[in-house]
Amino acid sequence: MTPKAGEAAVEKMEVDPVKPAAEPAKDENAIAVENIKDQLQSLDKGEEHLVARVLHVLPKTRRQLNDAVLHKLCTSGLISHDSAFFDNLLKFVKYTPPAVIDEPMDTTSSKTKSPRKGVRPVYTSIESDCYLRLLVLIHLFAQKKYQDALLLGEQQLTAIQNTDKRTLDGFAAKTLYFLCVIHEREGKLFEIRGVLNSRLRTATLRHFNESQAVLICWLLRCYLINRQYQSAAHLVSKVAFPENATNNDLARYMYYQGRIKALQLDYNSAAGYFLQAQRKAPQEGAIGFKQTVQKWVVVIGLLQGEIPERNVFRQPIYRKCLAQYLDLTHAVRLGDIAKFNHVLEQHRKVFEADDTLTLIVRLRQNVIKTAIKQISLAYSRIYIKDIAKKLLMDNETETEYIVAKAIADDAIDAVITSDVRDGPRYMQSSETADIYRTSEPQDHFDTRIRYCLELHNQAVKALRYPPKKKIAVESIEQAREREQQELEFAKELADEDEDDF
Amino acid sequence: MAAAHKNLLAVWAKEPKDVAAVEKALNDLTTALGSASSGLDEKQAALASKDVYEISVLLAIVKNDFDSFDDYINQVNTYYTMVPQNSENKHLMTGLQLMFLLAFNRLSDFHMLLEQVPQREQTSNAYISTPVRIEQSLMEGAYNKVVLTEKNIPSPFYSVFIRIMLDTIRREIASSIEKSFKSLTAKDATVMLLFDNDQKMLKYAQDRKWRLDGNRFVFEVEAAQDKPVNLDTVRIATQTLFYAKQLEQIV
Repeated sequence: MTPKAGEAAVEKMEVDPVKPAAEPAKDENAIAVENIKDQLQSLDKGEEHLVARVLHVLPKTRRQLNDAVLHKLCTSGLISHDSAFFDNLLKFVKYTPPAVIDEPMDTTSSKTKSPRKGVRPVYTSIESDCYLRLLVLIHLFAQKKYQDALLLGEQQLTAIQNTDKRTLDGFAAKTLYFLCVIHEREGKLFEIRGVLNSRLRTATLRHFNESQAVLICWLLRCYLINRQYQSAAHLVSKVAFPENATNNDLARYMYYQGRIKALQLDYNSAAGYFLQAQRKAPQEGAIGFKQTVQKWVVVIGLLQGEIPERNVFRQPIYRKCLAQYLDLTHAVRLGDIAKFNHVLEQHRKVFEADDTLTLIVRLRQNVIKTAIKQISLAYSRIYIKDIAKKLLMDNETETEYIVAKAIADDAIDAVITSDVRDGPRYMQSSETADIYRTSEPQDHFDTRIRYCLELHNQAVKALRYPPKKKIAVESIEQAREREQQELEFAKELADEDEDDF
Repeated sequence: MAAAHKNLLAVWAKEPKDVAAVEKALNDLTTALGSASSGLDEKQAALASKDVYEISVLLAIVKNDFDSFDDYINQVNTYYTMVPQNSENKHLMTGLQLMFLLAFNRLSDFHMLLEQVPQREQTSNAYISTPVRIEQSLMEGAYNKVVLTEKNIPSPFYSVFIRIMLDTIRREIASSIEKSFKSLTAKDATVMLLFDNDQKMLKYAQDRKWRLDGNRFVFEVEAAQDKPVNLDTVRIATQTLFYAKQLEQIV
């Protein structure tokens, strides 16, 4: 089986680059069918990394799908182990091919395929079955035929469960992903959390890493959407996220974890998680995801007392969606309470939709602190009454408490005192000490070095190596094939799945 | 069972509350609910168990028994998720739970719970907005506002928690004063520490070992800044060793 499949791949390789140039008018459907058939053949080998490769180009394949392509695939003479398989699939693909137009397409493909078919029928493997079913499922999803898609998805999962083969994990993960998306679109995500939980248990027990990653992410999403933060926090503390999950899933997981930590007032870890989520997100595409994460990064940064850099707001993909957050940053930076209140009122709807409103409300104390800090820098002594005026507070006692707290929290270095007995009290700022005489610079240097080392270590961990086996015995032809595949693979990696987000 | 239910409501409605009687009534009704032949339809049984849960929570507050309060409040919440149509007191319960978490300084739980309450309720519902406002004032340091809220609480059950918080607040204020004031008259201290008379304040000041000079308290702002910076050799050595180890791995 192996040499034959290799031969087919070589054929494709030589033909593929020429095709678009030589026959620009050729029906795209035919190309799609060819591509998918090639993929099916490599799937028939039943190797795990081949499955991963096919799934990797799924976003690209997905764009080529339509009724005609799927119908063609189902009727092109492949024979499944399960005799009812294609009939069943055809039930979902409601399409009657216009006989005349279909004819020329058939001849082109039958030139290469029909002789072989004549010799012996090609049995599809279980992997191929699952792949086809997944393609149909995606197509149904794209057409918003959610009920059919759900039905097919269930069939897929049952089939996978019955065969219990490791290579099928990738398909199970993808299927689960789409099922969850559909449930969410229909607003029924919360109802399937029990199912998701039990599936997660099975996946964890059997070390089906991909399913596990997808399931964890969706459970978290389900909890967060339904404001079940306690359950989400419990889940995070209990599960171990599979280490070799895809970057996309990892990015999502980091993001959800960041959200939970942010709620728990643990801003440091939240910032860390959001940063990692940003780094793991694909370079190209996934703009929506990156925008959302960026919003959280800004808010968390502000809560930690850090002012995000200006150029974050200037980047084209963030400029528009972060506009409100830019206003907010201005208010916090200036310590301008009036402006802060104004921004909060004005953009309330936006912040509420982003789920960041409660965090932003918490920023108020930061604004006050910044304001006091600036006052203490600008004045060597100032009456409490005047501070109250500057902070727009109508109550001196309240201001005094706040100033005293700021001093106690080491936010400012000052004392409250008065000249005469029972006279009006004022705040006297102390001289600012030379920070370079303390160990502060050392500490900063240390955190930066640690950050760099951590970055390096993560980069090393993220390196992926091709499977080692078989390299010793491959022929020249196979070597050539492998190189070509790797090239393609690298290309595909570059435009990694943007639809996925 | 209907009788037990009525009895419970009657005993509970009496002022001042007779804790023992309420407890007995609660027990009676719980046993009645537990027995299979209650003689009531499902709806009434659900209503009865709602009262059992809610009164248990409130009773725990009356008894200042906060461990059982924590247990009961979780039971009530479970009940509300199961029988959403009977949850007209939900906001009161959530508000009480928020106050409880706040009083015991469980801030991360507080925020987790708060996030579950829709934004609109957070500002418009008095039960919820009270703890929200208190939390904000606490964080800002506007302690006097917390005391002011005690006067217009939405339910008498809130005052227990505010009283607990008052102790915490007083501690906070005292430590703020120690750090930020050079001297403070006794009269002002009484006002700032939210005491109603000087005696109580003086006793509190004694407990915190404040030095009284005439009628003023004098605080020593410790001159920590002038201390010469010591070279912390141990820390630097560990840091450098850590870098060396990491670099070793890279090369």
